[in-house]
Amino acid sequence: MENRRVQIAAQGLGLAAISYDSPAVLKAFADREHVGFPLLSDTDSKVIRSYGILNEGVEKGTFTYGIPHPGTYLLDAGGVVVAKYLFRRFGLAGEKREAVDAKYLKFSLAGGEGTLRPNQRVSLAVDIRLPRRMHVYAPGVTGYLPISLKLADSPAWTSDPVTFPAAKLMRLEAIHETVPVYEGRLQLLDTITLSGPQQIERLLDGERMLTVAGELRYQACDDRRCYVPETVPVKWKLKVLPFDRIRAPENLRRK
Amino acid sequence: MGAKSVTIKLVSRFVQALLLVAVVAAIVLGYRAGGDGSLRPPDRRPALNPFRLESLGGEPWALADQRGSVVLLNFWATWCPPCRKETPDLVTLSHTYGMRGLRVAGITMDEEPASVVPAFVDRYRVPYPILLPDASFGLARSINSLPTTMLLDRQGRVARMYFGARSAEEIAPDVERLLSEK
Repeated sequence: MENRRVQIAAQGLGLAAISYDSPAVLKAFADREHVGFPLLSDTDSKVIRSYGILNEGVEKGTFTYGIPHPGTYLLDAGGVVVAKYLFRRFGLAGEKREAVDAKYLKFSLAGGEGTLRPNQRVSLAVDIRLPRRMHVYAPGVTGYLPISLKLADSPAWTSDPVTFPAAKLMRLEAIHETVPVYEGRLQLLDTITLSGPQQIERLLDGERMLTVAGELRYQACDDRRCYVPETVPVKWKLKVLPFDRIRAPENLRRK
Repeated sequence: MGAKSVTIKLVSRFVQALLLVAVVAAIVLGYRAGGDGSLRPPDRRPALNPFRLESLGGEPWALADQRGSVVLLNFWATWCPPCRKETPDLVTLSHTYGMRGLRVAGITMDEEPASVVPAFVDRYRVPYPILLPDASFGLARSINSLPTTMLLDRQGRVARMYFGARSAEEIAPDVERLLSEK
């Protein structure tokens, strides 16, 4: 953020960071790291809670209790959130959906809960669980078939590149190769930007649901054998409210 | 084409489909019953439907032409590490028993074999044909893990299935026994 502070300001955007640290801690940090934008102190995590991003995984009573799931919010001149960027697994709000039994692995879809508006960004996730001793290949592998998530092309959204977790290097001693793989649990994350109301409206169903469809493709192996490549359809249903045309009060609007 | 010949064709397709299902079921049941552990006795070996495929070099390869030979059919793919591990052993078997009547053939499950298989064949110095399954080759669709290897006796019947990578030492005694059968 600090490295891009000038560019951000040049775009007419204000910039501030919020943490649970005390003002004294933040002052020391800002001095040490030469931070030139405001660091706001939320010592009782009131703001953090109000954004619904308190990290509940941290045990109460420990010194880290009160930290948020990291994320960046873009607010309009009226203080309304118009975009959020939560790229981590725990940044995805909402309840877990039922796991799907696919061949050689289980997965569940997350993200897109709640309501959205045109032009908003939303992260969609595939949480995958591989059985013991099973692995799939990570992107960048050569000669093997890496796992991939591909959303369908649609005028209703544009998709960021899929975010993959760090791969583990697996040594295949018998063939003297080292390959990047995933074992156990992993999450594939695809953040999309919804299009404007004109493109979205005609693609909504009667309940204003937008279907975001895609394909999960993978090829799994265990230590003895490999299984034929699988392509599994995935689908999120997003509730998209009409474009918010109510503007902030006149005196708050940017001139 | 008359109605009768259409009917015959349909019936023949139906019978072919039934036979395929029966063969696959027999193979899978045989495996579950422990058939994977040893060579099946001749009267419990299901016959494989005849098939004809093009090989990587463009030469046709037909199961019927192998009658009288012991055949090792290896389903594999370049993206399968256990297949890579196993290939040198199959090459050894091919060299060791080729003169005595063993014919090894690989059936690649790669989706675009022309772009990846030739380099593999060079790297592992594969002397046996690599066959390219086409859409009508139902047997390939019944294979869901690799490597899967079928050992066929001189009559083209499945004498043993191997799931997962096997060594030349594991397969050689079975080949020897089948070669000794008339």
